[in-house]
Amino acid sequence: MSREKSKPPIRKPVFDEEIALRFAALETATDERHPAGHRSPGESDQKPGKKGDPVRIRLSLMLKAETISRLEEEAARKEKTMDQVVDKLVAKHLGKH
Amino acid sequence: MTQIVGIIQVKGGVGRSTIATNLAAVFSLKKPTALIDCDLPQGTSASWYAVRSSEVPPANLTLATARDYRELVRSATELSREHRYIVIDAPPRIAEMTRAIIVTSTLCLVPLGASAAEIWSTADLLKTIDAARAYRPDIDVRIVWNRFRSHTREAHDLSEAARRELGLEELTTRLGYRVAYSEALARGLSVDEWLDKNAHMEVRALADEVGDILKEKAR
Repeated sequence: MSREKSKPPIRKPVFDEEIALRFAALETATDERHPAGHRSPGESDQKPGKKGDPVRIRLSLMLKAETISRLEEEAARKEKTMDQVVDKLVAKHLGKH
Repeated sequence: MTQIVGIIQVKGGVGRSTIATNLAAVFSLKKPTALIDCDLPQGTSASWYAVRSSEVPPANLTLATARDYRELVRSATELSREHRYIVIDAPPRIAEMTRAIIVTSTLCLVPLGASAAEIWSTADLLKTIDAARAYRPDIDVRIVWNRFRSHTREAHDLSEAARRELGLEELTTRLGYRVAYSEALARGLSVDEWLDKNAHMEVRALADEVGDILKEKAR
């Protein structure tokens, strides 16, 4: 009995799923150890915690994507980090109230 | 064999979705193509597709969305069974998703306008690309100039500086600063289906150039 001719079952993978998942997940691990490694445009290489710097506490915020884009642009324009821009805006706003 | 084109850029508003939707639309004229929108909840490419579906029957063009990198990898694997091309619209962040896109793509395009802010953000992206090469040495990332005002000295100076500083290859095709791109996008069309002849030529040239690069890689 002859078998019907079919296409070979071995298919070259488009990409290596394992490598993609591993490299993508690496970011999470790296960020947890070195939060400063995840930088936005305009952020500098300056390390936190210099003598005389105010104490800074990490805070996660849910913002609109549009707001984040505007923050990124403003930070890049002023050559500051996004943290610095937000810090200044909040201080300015609260100072008025 | 399926080939994947990732449109990546850290900065927002540089034209990722414009390039992704136009490339996907032109590719789909010849071969089954999938467009994966990873920039959620903004979802510009997904919205474009929804408008398009109500105007033009999306023959040969499939849309998928991915909210995280695991979903993206799963989706790209599934879509690769039925599609010749997959175009991925990345989010404007260096995060897990962008890293996954860099490693899964046959070719990554980085839209860049001739502005200092866009060049700075690309410098950040380079570190991630270098890190990715340890996982996949054949990663190919090229700049595509967008909203390029070829008649201004500033644009030429900045593009020259970017070439020098970033050290990335760039595509010969440059997309100009044309209202046709936003007009077509809002109507679910590619500029190839819209009114501006110069925009037609640009997008066709872009698709041809990208197609040639992909053909070369498939050999």
